[in-house]
Amino acid sequence: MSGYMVRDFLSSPLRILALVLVAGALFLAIFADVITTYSPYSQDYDAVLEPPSSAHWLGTDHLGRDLLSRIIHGSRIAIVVGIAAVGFAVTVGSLLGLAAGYSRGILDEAIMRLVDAILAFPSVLLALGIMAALGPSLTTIIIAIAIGDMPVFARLTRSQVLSVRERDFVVAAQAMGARVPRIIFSHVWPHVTGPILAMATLHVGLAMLTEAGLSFLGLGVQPPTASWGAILRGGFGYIEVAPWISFFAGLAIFLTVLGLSLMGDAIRDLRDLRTAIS
Amino acid sequence: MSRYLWRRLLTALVVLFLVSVITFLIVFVLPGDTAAAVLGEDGGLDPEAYEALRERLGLNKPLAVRYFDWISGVLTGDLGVSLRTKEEIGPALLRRAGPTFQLAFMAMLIAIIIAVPVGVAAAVHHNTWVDAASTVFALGGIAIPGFWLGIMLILVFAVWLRWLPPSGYVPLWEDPVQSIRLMLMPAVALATALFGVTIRQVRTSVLEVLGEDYIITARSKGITERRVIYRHALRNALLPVVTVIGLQMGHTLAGAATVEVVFSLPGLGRLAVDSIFFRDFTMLQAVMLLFATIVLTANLVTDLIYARLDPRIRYD
Repeated sequence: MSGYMVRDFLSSPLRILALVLVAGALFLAIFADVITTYSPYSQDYDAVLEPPSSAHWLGTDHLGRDLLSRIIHGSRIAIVVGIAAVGFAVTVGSLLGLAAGYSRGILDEAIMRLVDAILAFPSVLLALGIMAALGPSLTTIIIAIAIGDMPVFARLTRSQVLSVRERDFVVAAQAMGARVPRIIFSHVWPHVTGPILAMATLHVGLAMLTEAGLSFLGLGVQPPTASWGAILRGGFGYIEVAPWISFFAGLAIFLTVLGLSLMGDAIRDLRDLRTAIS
Repeated sequence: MSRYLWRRLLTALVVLFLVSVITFLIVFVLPGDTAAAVLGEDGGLDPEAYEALRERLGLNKPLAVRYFDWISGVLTGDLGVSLRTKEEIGPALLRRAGPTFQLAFMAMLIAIIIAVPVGVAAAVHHNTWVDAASTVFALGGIAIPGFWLGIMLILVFAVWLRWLPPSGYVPLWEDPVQSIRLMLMPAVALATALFGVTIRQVRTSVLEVLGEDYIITARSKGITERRVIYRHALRNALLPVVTVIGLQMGHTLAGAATVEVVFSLPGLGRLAVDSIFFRDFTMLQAVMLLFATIVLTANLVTDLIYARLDPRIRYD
């Protein structure tokens, strides 16, 4: 990225907002142990369901645990699940999309129908089914979300490959006798990465939403682990006496996912700009 | 048209077959023995009763035979019985469909009512602060967890202001006013994810249409800008918008699961969640198959309407 591009990126207030939100979430996740003064698990029965105060900035939950500390540690779960699930989905999805788009014919048909079938299941429901089959754990949540997300990247990659493969430089490479893997990875793939990066950024946020939903239903991250969805589940029972628990946990999800969606948008615009210049 | 229609229908059938296989396999690999789960509640395991039940449930047969037994039952309208309540699954699904359909329909309506004016405003004032604000609003709608918004709505409108009942369900035909009042907050909570995507689509397609020749013609006739946009531009821009809404059936149903739990609605989403908690595998299988079938049908209908309305679409 050149200096020109950095300046251009920061020219829009929306992109600055995106950067602040995403960097903030990453910072909290990385330095969670250093920043927080309370352990997210230590219970204090003399300070149960306390409203926000100078001792507990965001208040405490029904076991007297410090909410700020739990939310900051919760960002780790969200980010790990989001990045791992989307990383997995992008790897498998884009390989399938490359294979489908480049081969066409029967392999293309088989892959795309499978992708259609997975897409037919509403995301949370598919994840619920897979979680039920594999048992609840952090790894299963990641796998469950990744399987549901994989079709999006397969379709995106395939459509990009289809539009690139007829272009002159690919035809030329073929005419020069380049082998298929070489054509795919050195000529086709570089044109696919931009749209995938933009889409993946948005989907890290969407994966966080699914994880929060699953944990809220009690079928995701299990207590006492501090995850945003699980904190919301705990707070829901005390909504009338301790509304701050639900409010702050949900706000953390909302701001992080908003940051990632804005970031995805910004990356897409930037790619458009670059193609417009070249 | 007819060639496209047949091809599209055939594809849908292939996908539906794959969907049924996936549903079957997920439930097949579920941990725990179905027969043991059924007998478990009655106390200790009697080996003879256990074997008899396995025989009756067809658990001793090979996988392919079991799939065939299940799917031929489904195709003849026999979805089997719930492992938990022992009731017929078909009627149980029908009873639970009402709340979910009302919720989804109201959410889509709210999403359209919000998305069209906001999207049009963003397109008309593109690259201004109006456009930026609509982007934040749209992405905010995508980013906000529906179930969290639902909880916050309960807090504000039911607990603090006491304007609306916090939760519950009354069928539309029993008491329409109360039914809509009860469904208002859940529908708003569910609508956020939908209007986010729809706003973006309205903006994009209105922007595209605004560059067309007939808009320039309309403007040169001297009619008001308002009329140009709402009579000439929006009408042609709405086709992709209809598609986007149709294709979001899956998102709507996914969001319905958590929203139904928050508002204690006796719908299909909550049924799916409950059936996992109670290890009611036959019910889970049926709900998953039903949801996927609804999504596939919605996609199919959307595609066909689109092909019908837009004569440029021809596949061969």
